[in-house]
Amino acid sequence: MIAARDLRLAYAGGDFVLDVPHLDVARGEQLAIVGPSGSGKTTFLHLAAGILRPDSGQLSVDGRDLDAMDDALRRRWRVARIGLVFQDLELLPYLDSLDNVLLPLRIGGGSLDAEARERARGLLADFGVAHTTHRRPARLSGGERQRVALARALVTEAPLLLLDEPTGSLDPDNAERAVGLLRARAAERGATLLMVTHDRAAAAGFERVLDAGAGLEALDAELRA
Amino acid sequence: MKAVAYLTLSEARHRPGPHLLLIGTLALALFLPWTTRALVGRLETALVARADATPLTAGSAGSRLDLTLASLYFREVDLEPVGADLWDELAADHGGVAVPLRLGAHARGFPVVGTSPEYYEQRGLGLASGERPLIVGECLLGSEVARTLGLTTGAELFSDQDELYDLSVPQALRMHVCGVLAPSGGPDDRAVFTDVGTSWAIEGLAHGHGNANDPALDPRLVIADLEGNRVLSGAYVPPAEIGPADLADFHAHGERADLPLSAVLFFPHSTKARTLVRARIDLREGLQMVAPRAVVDEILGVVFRVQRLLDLFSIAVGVTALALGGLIVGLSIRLRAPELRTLDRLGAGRSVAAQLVGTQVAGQLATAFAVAALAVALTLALLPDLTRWL
Repeated sequence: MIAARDLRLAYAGGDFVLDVPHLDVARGEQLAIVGPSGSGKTTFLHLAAGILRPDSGQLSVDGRDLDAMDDALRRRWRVARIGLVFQDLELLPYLDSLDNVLLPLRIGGGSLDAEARERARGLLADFGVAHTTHRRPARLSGGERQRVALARALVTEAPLLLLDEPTGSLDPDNAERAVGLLRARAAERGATLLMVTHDRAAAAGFERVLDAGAGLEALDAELRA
Repeated sequence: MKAVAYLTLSEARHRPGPHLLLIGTLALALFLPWTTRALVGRLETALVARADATPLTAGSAGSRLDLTLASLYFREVDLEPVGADLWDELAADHGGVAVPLRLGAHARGFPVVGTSPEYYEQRGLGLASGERPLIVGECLLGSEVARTLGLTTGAELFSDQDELYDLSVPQALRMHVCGVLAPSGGPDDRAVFTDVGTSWAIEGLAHGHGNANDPALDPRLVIADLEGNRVLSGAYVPPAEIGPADLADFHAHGERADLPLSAVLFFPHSTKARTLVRARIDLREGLQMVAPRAVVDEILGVVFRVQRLLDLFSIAVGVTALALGGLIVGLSIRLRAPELRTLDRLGAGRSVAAQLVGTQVAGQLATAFAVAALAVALTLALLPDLTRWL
């Protein structure tokens, strides 16, 4: 599903350089990358989503060479094929929970028929935030916002889920329940799940856990080991 | 595009303050020049139409503007009267139709216009009910007068008495409402029309002696009875109306030239007749013959100069509104930067941000335009006839 070769990205004016010589993630695999802040987890996730472009190297996702896609195609591909959870959640402040969950379908030009709405409501219920359906983010707790963001990632039923600190605002019980739900939904559809987190407990139970503690170079070494 | 419209509307509902402020400012910037131009245009049309329908007006020498405003709009001005013989002279001229106007009296605050039946024909005034005043003591109400006072044909209307505590002035005259004019959208709607004789009666210049010959009159009031001509005591109080018995001998004392008229309208049959009459009257000392259209053009010249000044103010307001709009849009983009970044990251098209801002601005402009249009329409509906303030 994800194949990275000699991937390199340096932020202009910064000291950090992401280097990934070799990384493969199989279709349907559930992978967690753990590591402290600043280790490049989010950067790698954004590269995989096509939000950032590498300085060099090759990155293939879902069988597509991201570098070969033009900007418009990459955007359309992202909204249709990737379910995303951002580290800072990024819910739109003027939309209620239901509309925030439906947002990827709306901007992707997907159908907003009764079935899609029912699916969105079902996801909110699954994550235990059905009572927030018509509330805007300002009226939600941090944990509720987090769970609405998780529901948004699942609404398009994308084959690839990229989750950045998906349990950052949840208590341990809710975190375990939420991650369990995400993994179960991904497994049901055969979707690939890549989660990055600083919380090692959240990564417990994953088929493969990579430690990015020494930078993403270590991922490759660990993988080969 | 549907998604953009939905997001724009949702955002506007969530944070209406800046949008409303901008819409209000833009609407005001549109409303001011729009209304000014519409009102001035309407005023110009009304003034020109009335002036063109009144080719000439004769009156005493003095202000041409005063004579025109009095003749066309029954405006209260300090005009020296002309004698009724001027009317006779112009009426005898076969080059056109002469119509007398006597102003100055009022009934319940509305001007009483003493004139002749030709006035209604020349103005093309139709009747909503009743008939035109054919005899003294009758009055014909303009449509607005009838509506305001709640009067209709068959009612009675008293003239106003200027000096309530001066017994030497004529008392208020009770007039019989013989008809109501159909609305014409001009000053005729706001006047009470009578025969010119009635106006003179209101002023105490004409009367009948019907009651003096009434056999039921208190004999103590009769000082002498000379072959049917009775001489009455000073204690006799004439009746407040012109009754049927007065019509037979209704008359004015003194010379015809002493009976005052405020103006005489003249509707010439030809350009030649117009030129000849105007020259003849203008050459007479103490008189003038004015072409109202020329005076109205002068008024409009002033109005247009004022409008140009207002246009400058409107431009200043417009520039301020645009600057404010630019500021609000700029701040809005900055405020919405996280939202635009989210949409970008989720995979919205690169143009979505521009579309969102464009839709927001277009929506604000369209709403401001609609609000301004509504306000202009309301203003025009509330101010159908600006000539009432002349």
